[in-house]
Amino acid sequence: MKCIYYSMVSDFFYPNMGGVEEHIFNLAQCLLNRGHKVIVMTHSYGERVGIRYMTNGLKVYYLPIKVFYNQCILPTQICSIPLIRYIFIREEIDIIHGHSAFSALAHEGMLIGRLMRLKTVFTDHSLFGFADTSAILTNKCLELSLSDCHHCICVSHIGKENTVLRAKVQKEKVSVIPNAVDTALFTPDISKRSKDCITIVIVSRLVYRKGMDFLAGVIPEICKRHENVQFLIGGDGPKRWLLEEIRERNQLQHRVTLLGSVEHSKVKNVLNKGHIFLNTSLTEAYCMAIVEAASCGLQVVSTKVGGIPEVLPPDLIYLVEPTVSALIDGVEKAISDYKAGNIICPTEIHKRISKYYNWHNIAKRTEIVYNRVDDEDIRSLGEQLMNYLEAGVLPYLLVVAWCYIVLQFLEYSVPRKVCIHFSVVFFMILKKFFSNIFLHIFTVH
Amino acid sequence: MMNSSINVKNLYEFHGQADNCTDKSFHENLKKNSKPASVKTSKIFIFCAKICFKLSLIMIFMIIFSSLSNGTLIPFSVFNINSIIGFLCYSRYVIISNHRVQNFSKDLHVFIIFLVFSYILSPVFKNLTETVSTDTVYALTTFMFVIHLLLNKYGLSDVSLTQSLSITLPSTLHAFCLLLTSVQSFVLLPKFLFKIANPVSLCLFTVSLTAYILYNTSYILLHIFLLISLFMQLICPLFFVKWQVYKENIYGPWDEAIIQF
Repeated sequence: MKCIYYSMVSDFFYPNMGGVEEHIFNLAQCLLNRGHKVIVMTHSYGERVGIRYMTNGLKVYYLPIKVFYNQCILPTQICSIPLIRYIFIREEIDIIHGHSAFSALAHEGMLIGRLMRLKTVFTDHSLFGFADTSAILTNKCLELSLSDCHHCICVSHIGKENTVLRAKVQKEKVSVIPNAVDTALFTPDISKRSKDCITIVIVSRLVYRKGMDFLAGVIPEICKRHENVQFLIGGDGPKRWLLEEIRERNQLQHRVTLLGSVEHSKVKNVLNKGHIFLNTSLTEAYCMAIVEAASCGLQVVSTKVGGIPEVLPPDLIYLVEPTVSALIDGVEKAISDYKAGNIICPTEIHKRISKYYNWHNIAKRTEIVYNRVDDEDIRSLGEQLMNYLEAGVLPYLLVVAWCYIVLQFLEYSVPRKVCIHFSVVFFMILKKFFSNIFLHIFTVH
Repeated sequence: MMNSSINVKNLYEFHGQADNCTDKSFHENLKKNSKPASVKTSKIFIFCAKICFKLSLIMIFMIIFSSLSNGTLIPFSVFNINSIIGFLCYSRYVIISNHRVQNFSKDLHVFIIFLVFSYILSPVFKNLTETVSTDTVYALTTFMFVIHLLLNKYGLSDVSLTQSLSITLPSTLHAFCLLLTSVQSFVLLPKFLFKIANPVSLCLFTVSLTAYILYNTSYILLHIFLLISLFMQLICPLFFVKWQVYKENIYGPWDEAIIQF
């Protein structure tokens, strides 16, 4: 098997937590296991600047670029060319894999990579409408960036339909590869469940898009109808005040617990305390939370939006329309099924989920995409510009051409040989530094 | 293998097909323009008339300001006109809204507080921006008026902004009168007049009034004003309605659910 050097580029990575971050980390781990070389590039997080190593020697570059808006860098296109080019050369990267449509760094990295005649793959993790101005703008930007991308990956079929529409990519160039869940981490444990009451768990960021307004309607009604039902809510966000207010107003302090933000490694403990998992999202490309919950053996009640219907088989999920009354009905049905003993054994569910989703399978399928992209011909600058022309924004050609000129200038002023030489020198300095430290430690003790 | 169909769209089963193949159901749920265009021509005209009305109010205000500052109008007459208009409008308002006695005292209370405070504070208004050059003040005011027009429901705050103009006036009494005029023309009048009259006829009336005043003061301004009014009142709404045909909305399963209570 050919060893390929990959670079994952995204604004979103650890210590930030979320679906994209998890996807990048797990995919990188599996690719490392399969004998490839993977690095991750992201912007700096506070004090975290420079190179860090994670599990299995996953090398992470925290580039010293300031965050501009919403965890993203300012898309200058040009300012970070020297740095990104240097890393690509030094790590001898073959394929660049950008993640998330919102990540400016991913688009910048892919642009620079393509101009350096590398191959690019892009994974879109989100859905977007077409109705409002911000959507129209973002869609145009995505179309520009993807017009020359070698291949796209979407996490669900709905995601693919959406991306094909809004970025105007050929549908043959878009693969559907879902997210997965580390099922070894999310195991069922019935002993932690409460014996005398039914616990409904919600783990999500408490934001508008996750349907917290629905939740605020569901909680009082369910509590009124059932004496022995309690709610356990993990996560934090701007809508927390709403839930707190609902709790105060209905005197439900003893039945609704707000845990605040929960670390990803602790989510399992929260899930294991529950019987039913409730997801109220308004839009979702692929909902990892419901898969994690199902993997812990919970009954899942969820709104029927975006890619959610594709994620779990119908007997593992109660799909309802996104309204308060439908959600209440769904929860009612789950509760009555639980009381009637009409549920599937948690261990059985866990087994099925681990059969459906695992990262190794995902990594294999992603690798097929990589191999296909790797076999494609390298495009000349003219061909690339022609591809950008299709998007119809002529000034962007100037940006691309300018980036190309900057790259050519760098090729002259900092030749490739020097880049690699620098890295060797840097490595030697590092080695010397560490040996000094070790020497120091040993002499002290 | 590439374009063979997948029967079920799910992610948990492996169908044995390449990940990038599509089936017949691709874009099956896509809907175009499912919601009919909700644009009514009359509504657009009324909206434009409101903007036009505000523009002519601004013009009248500026004319009053310039004639106050070059001495063709004395503050006392401005005050008189203001009080007459205010009194007439208030009595009409009382008739249409079935006022009670306690509301009278409330209104009187607000009125006296406003009058006394603005009279006391008008020297401050006058002196506040004295150190700033006149050109800056004019530029700022123009800018503020444009913002005022852009954000139609701007509310109270534009009154204080127009006050920066008062520094170029000869006395504090002038400043006080200008303050009264600005409150009346930008806060009270639009609120009241839209209640009793049709915005389109109201707009026509104010535009012709402004045009008449401009006819006596400046020909260039008159032409510019008439052109802009015509453009805003007729051409803009016509184009807006006509171009609705080109609007194409796409709806599908990826749309964010809308919360309804």
